[in-house]
Amino acid sequence: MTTTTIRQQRSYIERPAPSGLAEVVDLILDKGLVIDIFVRVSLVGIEILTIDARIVVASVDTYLRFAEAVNRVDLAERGPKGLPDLIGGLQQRGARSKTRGALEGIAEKVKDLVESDDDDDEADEPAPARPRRRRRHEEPE
Amino acid sequence: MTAMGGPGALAAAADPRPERPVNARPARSEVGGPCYVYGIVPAAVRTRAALRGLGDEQSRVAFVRYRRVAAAISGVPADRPLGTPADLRAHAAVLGALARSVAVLPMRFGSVLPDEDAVVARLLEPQHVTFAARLDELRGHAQFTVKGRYLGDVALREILAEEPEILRLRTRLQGRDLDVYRGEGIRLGQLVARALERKRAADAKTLTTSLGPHVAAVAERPPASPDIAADAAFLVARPHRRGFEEATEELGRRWQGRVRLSLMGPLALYDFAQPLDQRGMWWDCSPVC
Repeated sequence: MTTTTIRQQRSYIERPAPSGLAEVVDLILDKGLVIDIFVRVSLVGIEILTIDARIVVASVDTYLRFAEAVNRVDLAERGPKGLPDLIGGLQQRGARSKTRGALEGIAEKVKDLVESDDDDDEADEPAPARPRRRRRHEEPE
Repeated sequence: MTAMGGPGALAAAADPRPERPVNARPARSEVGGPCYVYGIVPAAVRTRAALRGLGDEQSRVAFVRYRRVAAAISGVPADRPLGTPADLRAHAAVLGALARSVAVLPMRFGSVLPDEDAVVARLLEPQHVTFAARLDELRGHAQFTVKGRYLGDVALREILAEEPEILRLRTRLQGRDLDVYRGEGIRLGQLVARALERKRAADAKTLTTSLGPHVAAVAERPPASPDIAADAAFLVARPHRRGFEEATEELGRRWQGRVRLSLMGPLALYDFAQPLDQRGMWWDCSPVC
């Protein structure tokens, strides 16, 4: 089997290495065996990240963002679906950045939180895992 | 209790930097003080070189063995709290490297015991029967996660095409200031959020039924952001891995231009470490088991 075959087989899905911070956080938080004998060590920002990564949709602010998102959809323009020239991965990425702002705009808040120090943490800096906390998603219903 | 062997391939997995020679360390008491526990593996685990642990560059993963099980441990940075991005990544990288060769029951991030004796006395000795049974049950299995994200506006476009009430309300609100028409805006948003939930439920079902024939169990994961179409963890036996990957590929092809699928794995058994009867989400669904 050649490399080309493998590449062709995988052309429709992504195989990210589970090392990006967003992937790691998504994978490990709240997961794994918990046994109450463990020593309590101090953890930086972990509980808060857990909460932020699981933003609940049910708030007035989020509903308004959904309304804005659906209002922005331009029905005259065809989406990426069915356009054969948008099939290539690169082009798709281009299209994605153009149509960004709908659901991804809402998702962005979460991504900002978990991805913002993706680039600089290899320096072993003891900074906390998350940037400034944002409150706007947490208004009561 | 013993630990690691000679130099080899596994080290590179946990350490993204070029491999450097691993100095031969004593077979026991690698970790003098508090032990960070990554997860539980079969006692027969063998890594060809020590994995890098969390904390400083010298941190190495060792195994504390008891009967048929072993805990993968390392030291804990003494001078700072845990939880930096590097710590989170190291936790996942160690478990990921182990999961390539054995079944791994991960501990939750941040699990620490005072010393190696405590790892035996308080973790392995009281629990080894349960751990061994679970590891036997899961032998030859690894976890894969598949996550789908809606591309661009696709989900909203579909909702507008499928839900006349949403289209109507949207048309009425078009060009109006939602601060003024706040009540209707909220109503529209609620309808969209609910329609999205229905859409997501249908897509999640498509995902699990498409991959179901190749897996031993499924655990759906709650969507972490609104653009997630489906997110689930799958327990896959080694001989079925290829079929599973091909089925994922096939679904990716079917959803092309609509949902972007990403597949991660093999991973530690993050979503399957608890015994089956303690979880509601499990499905036994295939000829595999």
